Formats: sequence, structure tokens, C-alpha cells
Amino acid sequence: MPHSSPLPIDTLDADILIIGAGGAGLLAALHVHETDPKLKIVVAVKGLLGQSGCTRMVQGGYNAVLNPSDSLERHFTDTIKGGAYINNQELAWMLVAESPKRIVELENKAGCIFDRNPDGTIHQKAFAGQSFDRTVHKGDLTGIEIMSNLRDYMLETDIRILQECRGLDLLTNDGKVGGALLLNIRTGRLSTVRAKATLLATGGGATMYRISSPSLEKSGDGMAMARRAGAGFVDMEMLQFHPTGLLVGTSVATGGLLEEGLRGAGAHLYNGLGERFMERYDPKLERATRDVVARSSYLEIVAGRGSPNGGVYIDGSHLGEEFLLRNFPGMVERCADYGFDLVHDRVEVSPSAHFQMGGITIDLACRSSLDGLFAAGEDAGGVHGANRLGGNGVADSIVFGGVAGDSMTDYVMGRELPTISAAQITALSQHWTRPLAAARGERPFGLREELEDVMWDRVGVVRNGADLESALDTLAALRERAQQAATAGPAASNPAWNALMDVLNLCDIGQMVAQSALVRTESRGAHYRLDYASPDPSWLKNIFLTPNDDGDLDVHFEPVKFTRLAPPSSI
Amino acid sequence: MKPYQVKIARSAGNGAPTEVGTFEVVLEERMTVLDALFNIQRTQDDSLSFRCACRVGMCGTCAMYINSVPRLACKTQVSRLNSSTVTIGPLPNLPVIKDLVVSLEPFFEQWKKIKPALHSPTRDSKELACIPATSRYARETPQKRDCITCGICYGACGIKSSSAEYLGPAAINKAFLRLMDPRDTATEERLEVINNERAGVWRCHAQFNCTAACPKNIDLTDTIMRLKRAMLFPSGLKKA
Repeated sequence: MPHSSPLPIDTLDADILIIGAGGAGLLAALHVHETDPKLKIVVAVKGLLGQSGCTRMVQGGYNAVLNPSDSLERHFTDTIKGGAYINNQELAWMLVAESPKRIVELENKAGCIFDRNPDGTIHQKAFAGQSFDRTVHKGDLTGIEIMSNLRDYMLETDIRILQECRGLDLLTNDGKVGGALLLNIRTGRLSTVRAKATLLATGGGATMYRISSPSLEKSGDGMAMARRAGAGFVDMEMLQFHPTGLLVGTSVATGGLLEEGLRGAGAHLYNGLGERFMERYDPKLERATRDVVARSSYLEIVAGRGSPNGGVYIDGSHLGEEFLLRNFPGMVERCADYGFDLVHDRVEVSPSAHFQMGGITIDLACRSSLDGLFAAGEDAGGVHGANRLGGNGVADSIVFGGVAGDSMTDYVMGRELPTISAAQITALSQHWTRPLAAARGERPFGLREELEDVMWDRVGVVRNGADLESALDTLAALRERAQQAATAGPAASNPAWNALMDVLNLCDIGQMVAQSALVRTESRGAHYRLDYASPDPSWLKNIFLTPNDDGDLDVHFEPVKFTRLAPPSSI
Repeated sequence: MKPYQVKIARSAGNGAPTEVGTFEVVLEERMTVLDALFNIQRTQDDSLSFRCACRVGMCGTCAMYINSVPRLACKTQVSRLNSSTVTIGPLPNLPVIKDLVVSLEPFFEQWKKIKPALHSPTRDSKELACIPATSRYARETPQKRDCITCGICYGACGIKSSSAEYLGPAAINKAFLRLMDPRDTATEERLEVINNERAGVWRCHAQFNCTAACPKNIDLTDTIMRLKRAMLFPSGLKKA
């Protein structure tokens, strides 16, 4: 029997609604608040404030040009080369140009202090794929410094924080976004937040893969909501695998990362035969970009040259105990937590699904294709092209969070609160609460495992057309089954219900990744097709997906605009 | 492999636990308490509520009371507990929302009292502060800044169990960091809070429970003792 009376719905009005409170969401809130403290900001965070999402998990650090011997042009060139020349060059330029200013804000306004040189200037370390040591950090647990301080900033403002509150869907009227329907996970209460501007900053959906690195509560909610509301997407096939995720058996710790700085500092990778296999793939060896190292490891593993648990080995022991303990205490500790010895031994690692370069299409003001809807951080696409450099991820969140904050502050000026549709709210709340009253149906946990398997096996590090086509069928069937699943029980603190909502969102995104991957008949950056194993210069294009009224996706391409840097003829 | 017996404090509806649920979990290699909880939630009782985000010791949300010690579930290997029974309850000294989920609100109410944000006259400066790697701040604070606000010290503290007013170790540690911060000027306000005889540092009897329990190995007792000394000998907080 359908659930006839939805849960009670609280209502809230705001100038600006921010969904997601990692680096992007909180920087947006900070920028709005600094510019106009009278604006009413509501921030919804799926977990606890400052303790949810992936900015918190940043290890190595944040790329910024701060040294006079470095230059914005060099950082830009590294970013475009790393992205295999399909980045939106104006967004990438904004990233590198704004990044140094944001470091100053993080320190002087938010209260962070990053590691220093003896002379008191900021210390910057080496990361892969970069022509200069420009990665700002606090030890090897940089994200804790950033998020704890941003949280403390928020605590002394009147910004309204809704903790353990997830976005369900956007409220739309005449193609314009006017807020969102939210669920408080603990109380089980629904609420509508009506807002003049809405920012999606929830992070991506790499958790749809069997081995993945992000915080477990992430399920690409922002992208999924944007898709259902009809927003446009770019280069969704581009999903990064980090080369060194820990292998910890069946533990949920599997996929958790050992940071890139280890390879930057000279750690080696070995296959199961003890060969330093990167010699076969790239002259930069372990300091090649993430896409190259992850794919090389994967190819070793599938060729039968992997470690006993299906990975490869990272070895930093030659760097010495004193060096490792001084520079990578967090990584040494993380290994020790699971019984591994990073100081003296090789540690088994695997490529681990990490970050979505693709995402919601935005302009230089973080505006999506829908009026009133903004996106920043991992939710948005285009900045990183086909592969993101280590250290550019948190920089992206912090830079574009700030851009979105400024842009929304301008946007809401002089605007009235939007009209929202009571009929839509009723329909959405009935839709989302249906599983609570469903007596019979599949449970979500098996569906989640199937989803992770199909994404890993058929839409993973190495792809081919036949697998992608069959994956699309499987994903459609999984989505259908998830729509019929049952999670009977209370609305408050119902883990199964929330797990089901995560699966539904990840199915929506996974389908976009697979569809876009099928369209791109070449290999570029993180996207590698066995049936089209080389980069094809005619594919210096971006792939745009636009949801149509049937719920399907319209596809179109546009050549990349080389507004600042043209590719060499060989790319 | 032999199954472990896992006993978990359960709430019937929302609110404090009313019963103990007993489950059997087969130990797999390197399994953590968090893995055991996920295993139970996915295969035996999907109403079991607990918090988890990063699952690798960074978010600080899976703090709970495991075999009578407050710990992070993600950093606790079941095999290292040296017991065939694992008994799990919610973190002490905090109100329970459901099962193993507690409200951190009292913890953050104390945290807010010490003014955790930076209060600096240079907040609008376009230059980064000059803080030499040899300065006291750079040398003495890095590990104390690794606090993940998990609430474990708050749950482990004997004084906190009988005093609603006591700030607790984590908030005092945050106060110390801002007091040491060469840019910050809200010194007097914070000293007044931590010098308060009912809420401040003087309540600490140096039982070291917080230091022993901290999953980030922060020497919280050391922080509190330093602040006590600084109250008596103000040069102890010189920011050089």
C-alpha cells in the first residue's frame, strides 16, 4: 500500500541554501558571511559539521603558487597537461589564479596555520605531475587543519547549520531552482528550505566503486539532485582512481589512501614479482600523474603480476625511519592501525576510486544551467579535464566555494523569495517515504554491493564498449529494483532507508559515467578504453549530458576552447 | 574462524539504551570494531545505528565505549582486544540519541565557550603571518592541532562525569592553541574562561584518562598543566 500521508514537513526560508559542508560549502558560507553578514544562510550537512566529507580527509595538501620562483602559468600548464587538454581553461585559470589568495583567507580569516620553513614562510612540498614544489600542507593530515578551523569559524557566526541533514531533491518552478527538500537523518523530519540561491557542494560519487577512498556517507547527492532537476553535466566519464588505496581484506578501511606525497618523496611501487613496474610505463616512474600510475598498477594486477590480495606494493622503507616518521606520521599510523609497517615493509595497495573530474556544468560564477542553482567543488565539472593533479582537489573546493559564495551574494541582491510548488513537495515526500511503508521488497545492502561490482568490473580503470553497454543495462535494472526496495521502519535513524537513498543517487550518477564513457571512443587521462587504447586528437572535445523530460540523457559534444594554451600536435 | 560475541547497548526507540543486543560475528583478518558493526547492520539487524564517515581515523565520528574504554571503532582491531566478547556502548558523559549515536551538543557548547575561532587584528591582511619553523607555536602545537573532536577525552574524563560545567580536555586544548597562536589577541577572554574555578583548568586532577584514551595521542593532561602554570606564571604563554 502506498504511504498515503507523508511525514510532517518543517519549513524554513533563507537567502542562500548550501547543501554540503566540506571545503566548498563552508568557503561559500564564509564568503557570503564576510561580504554581507545580514544574509540568511542555511547550511545542510549530511554528517557532523566539519567532520563530514572529503576535505576533512585531505592528506597531502593544497596547490598554490606562493614562491616567486614559481608562476601561475606553470601551475596552469601543469593542470592542463595533467588534465590531457580537455579542461575548461578559464575555470582552470581561475583555480590557479585564486588559489594563493584563498590560502591567505584560510590562515588569516579561518585561523589555519600550515607548515612553515625556518624563515617563517610557508612550506611547500613535492607532488606528482608538477613542475614545482607547490603543495601547501599541515603535516600529512592537512584536511583536519582546514576543516576544524572552518568549523570553528562557523561556530562563532549565526549561520544556521542543519547537521545530519541530507538533501533529497531540489524544488523547482518553471525551470528555476528555489531551494530543496531535506531529511534530518536523526529525527526523521522532512523540511523544505525555500531559498533565493541554492549551492550544491555535497561531493561526488566515487563510493559507487568496490574499492574507493571517499568518506562513506558520500553518495553524490548533489549531482543526483541536479540530474533529476534537469541540470547539464560535462565529461562524466572522467573519474579518477588514486593509485595507492590500502588493501585491508574485507574491512571498510580498504580503499583508504596512502597519500601521494609518499611517491613524491621517492617511494617505489613493486608488482607481485618484485619488479619496479613503472619502468615499463612512464619515464617519470612513480611520480607520473595519478591516471598513469593507477592504470599501470591495474594492468599489472589483471596480467597476473599482482600481490596475493590483488594489488601492488608501495615501499618507502629506503627513505628511512626518521624521514617517514617526521614527514608521514599519519600514514605510518594509518598502516599500523591495520597491522602494516610502512617504515620497514612493503604495503599492499590498489587503485581506489577517488574523485569525479566530471560534474555539473558551471560557468565562471559557478552558475549551473538552471537559474538559481550553483555548484562548486567535486559536484561541478570542467576544472580538471581528464585527470586531476594531487593537491588541486582541495584547492578546487576552496577556490570555487569562495567563487560560489561571492556569486550567490550578488545573485540574491534585490531578489524576492521564489514561489515553490506545494504539489511538488507532496509528490517528492511521498516518493521518498514510500520505502518506509513497503512491507516487502529487497533490502538496499545487496543492491549496493551489486552496484559497486558492476562499476568496478565494467566501468572501472580499464573499459571497453561491450562492458559499458552491458553495464548500462545492469544499472538500469538495479535502479528499477532500488525503486521497489523496502526499508520498513521509523523515519528517524533508519540506516537501511538512508542506504537505499544512497543507492538511488549513485545509480543516477553511475549511469551518467557509463553513458559518457561509452560515447568517448578514445583513451584520455583517467578514461581508458581497451578498444580505443590511444588518445585521438579529434576527441579534444567535451561531452555534455542534458537530462530530458523522459529521464534520459541527451548527448552533445563541443570542441575544447583553447583560450590560453593549445595542445601539442601529438595529443 | 571462531565467532566473536558482540554485545551492543540498544535503544528501543530513540533515546538512551534500554537493552543489550547480542550478535555473533565471524572474525576476518584485520577486522575492526567498525567492520563488526557494519557486518551486523548489513546481515543481522539493519536498524542498528552508529556514526561513521571517513572510516580511517580522521573524521572522529565513530567514538564509542568498547570493552569499557572509549575508542574510535575504526581504529580498534577486534583481535587486539584480547577478548572473545566485545561489549559496545555509547560514549559516556553525553546524551544518547539512539543505540551508539550520542549528541555532541554539550561537547560543542563547552567548545564554543573558549572562543575557538581566530580573533586577530590581521584578519584582513593579504600577507601570511611569519611563523618560523623554530617558533614555539610551530614546535609545540602540531600534534595538539590534530584533534578530531571525537569526544573521547570528554567521555573518558572522571571530572566530566560529575560536572556539567567543566569545559573538558578538548575545549581546553583548543583554548591553548589559540592562546599560543601568534596572531590571536583574545587572550584575556579565554584566560577568564579557563581560569573559572567551576569550569576551568583547576577542575582537572591529572588522572590522565583523557591522555590515555586520545586516539590521536594528544597529551591533553600536559596541555592542562601548562595552562595551570601559565595562570600562576604568565610568561608561560609567551607566543614567541
